Amino acid sequence: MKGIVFTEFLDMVEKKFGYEVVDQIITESKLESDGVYTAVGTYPHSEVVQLLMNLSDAVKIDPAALLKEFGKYLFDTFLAGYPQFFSAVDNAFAFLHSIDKHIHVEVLKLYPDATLPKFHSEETADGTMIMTYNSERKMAALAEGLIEKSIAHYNENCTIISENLKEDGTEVKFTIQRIKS
Amino acid sequence: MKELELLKKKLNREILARKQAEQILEAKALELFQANEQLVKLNENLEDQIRQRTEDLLIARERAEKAQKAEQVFLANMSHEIRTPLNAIIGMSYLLKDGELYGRQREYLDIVVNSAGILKGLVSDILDMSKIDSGEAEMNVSNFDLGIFGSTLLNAFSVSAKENALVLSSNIIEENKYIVHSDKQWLNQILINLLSNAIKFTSTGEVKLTINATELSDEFDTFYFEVSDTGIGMNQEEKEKVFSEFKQANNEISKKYGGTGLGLSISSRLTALLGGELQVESEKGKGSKFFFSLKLKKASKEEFDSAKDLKVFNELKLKKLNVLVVEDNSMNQEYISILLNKWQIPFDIADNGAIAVEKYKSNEFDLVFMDISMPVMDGFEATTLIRQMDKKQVPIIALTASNILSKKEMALESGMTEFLAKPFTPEELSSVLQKFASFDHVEGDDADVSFQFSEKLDAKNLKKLYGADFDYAHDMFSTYLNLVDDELLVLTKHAESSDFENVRKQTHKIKPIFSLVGLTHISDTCEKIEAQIKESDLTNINEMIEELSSEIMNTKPLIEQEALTLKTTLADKL
Repeated sequence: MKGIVFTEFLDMVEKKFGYEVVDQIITESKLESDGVYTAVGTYPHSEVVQLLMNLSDAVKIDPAALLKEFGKYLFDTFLAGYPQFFSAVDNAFAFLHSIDKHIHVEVLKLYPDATLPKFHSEETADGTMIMTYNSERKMAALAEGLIEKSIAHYNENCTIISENLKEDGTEVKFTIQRIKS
Repeated sequence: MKELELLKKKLNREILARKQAEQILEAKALELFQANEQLVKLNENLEDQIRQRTEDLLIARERAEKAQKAEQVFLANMSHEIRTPLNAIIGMSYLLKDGELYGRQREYLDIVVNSAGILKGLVSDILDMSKIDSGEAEMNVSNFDLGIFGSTLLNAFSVSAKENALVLSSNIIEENKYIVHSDKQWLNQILINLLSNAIKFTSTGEVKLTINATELSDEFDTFYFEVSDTGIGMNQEEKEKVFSEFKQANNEISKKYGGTGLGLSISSRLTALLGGELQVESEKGKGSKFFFSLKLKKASKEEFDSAKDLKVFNELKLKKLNVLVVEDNSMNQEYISILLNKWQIPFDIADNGAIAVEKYKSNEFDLVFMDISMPVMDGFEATTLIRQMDKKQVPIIALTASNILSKKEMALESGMTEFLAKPFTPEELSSVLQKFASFDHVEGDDADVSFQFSEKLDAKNLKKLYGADFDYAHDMFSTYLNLVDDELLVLTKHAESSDFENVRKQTHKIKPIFSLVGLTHISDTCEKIEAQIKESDLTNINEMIEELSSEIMNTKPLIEQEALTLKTTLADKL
């Protein structure tokens, strides 16, 4: 997993809970990297799982909720670092569609070894988008946070319902519906 | 203190993270450098390849251009070498035709002429293919009678058919009905090719030529042409290859029957150029049928007829010029000499360009015929030199045996005025002479004051026309007397049936002959009648025609007298 996930995660933890918690979860986890992360590096995915679990224990919040919160935090990082992806389209559904078709394609060009989730998006006749998340890393909650903030970025109002297509969380279906105002 | 501990830990982690980042950066920089090096090398490689390929292409192109040039030069030379003796055969045959021939001699001679023509056609095959394919083939349109064309063609093959014990039959449109505007030479070439093939490949039976009119309209008529035979025929495979060049149906054919294998290929292309498609139907062992349809522009019968008649009158009008003939081939020299002597045109001959330039310096010439390929100095060079000293822009006619476009351009550039392609017919030579003849050429001090034309005629004009050439004048007067009765009859017949359109045409036709015998006022009357009818003004028209008619009759004795006087004057001189 790319270093930026780790650096941003620890940044969020420091901002929300203080560096003492950061230090705590690093010390509690058995990390090959010793908790030393640079955004341009690559580290084992299992480390972020450990950190997440230990965080959940430390602050008594459900890991899924923490992940979703992280997703929303990560959105701002992406917006600041790669504004061109957001300005390329002018509405939420078009943006969501471009994640798999365009954004991930560009990412892979620069970082061929990046492990990214697979998305499949489809818009139905009545204006509903069905977006399917597919990944061994089982971080659909992170995706949900990102999706939520993306929609808000385009000033749109939608309801998001998630549904596990596979029990182990490797395949999740998001049903996104525009709210008629 | 915990805070300090915490900060120290954070700092350490940050420092280590920075160092990691630096390492990654270094590694990426190296990667980039190496990728760049490879790119530069690849680029140089590509540029080398391009340079090499361009060089190769230039060499290949130069070679191709040289080869093409060599081929053109070869073709032009070959064409010249072969056409020169052919010119002699055709030319001499025409001269013989003009003389007195007994019975079958004329028939035999016609066949010689036609055969020479066929031979010339065969030789031209090779040149034609090259011209058509390189896009240099030029269409030469003229008006001709398709019916006469067909029957002439048939006659040309009658002997050949007889020799091969074949029946030559036909179904051809009648003569004097369909005058078309097209390329006669090409159509001739196609049908000659088809007919000679038919005869060649048929051992017994029949060869048939069909020319039918299938669709008529105001501006165009469509004709169906077919040559069929009861010969060896072709199977499917042979039929498919039959129009490809250099492929005769199979090797057996080439060994047994000979030929260049180009004929059908050329015919097919020419047919396409004329707007049709040459097709074939055939059955092995039974026979073949080659056919195509052409939509041809109609020419008016009037244009065609008046062109024929004009020829007769124009021959009468030939004026005297001093001509310089520059030609190295002795047969060609003789051919032209005989014609010029016959037409009483004074001339001089130069064997090559250098002699021509010398002669031009010390003599006055009104017209120069210049052959192109000659030893010592060729036609282009001689023309250039003559133009340099020539103040009056003398017309220089190029005599060319090769029809290559590039030679024509060279001729124009060196200052030649026009071309006459060898072999040429007497008509072609005479029309060039007429084109450049100056009617203002005054006879000079040869004027014989012992004869004066009758003052009752337009003596001034007659003197201008004939000078002291009484022989010529006598010829003209005699011809007039021979023609005038019949022509007048035609005119009166039209007038009687009030066919004024034809009256106009007839007066237009006969108008020139009156000035030739000094009856200028009758010419004027013809002019008036013609003009009035054209404007549909028929007032007094019948009276005018009557007047014309009687004036012509009344002046006949005067003309007869004049002709007699001319004859005796001639006799005296001799």
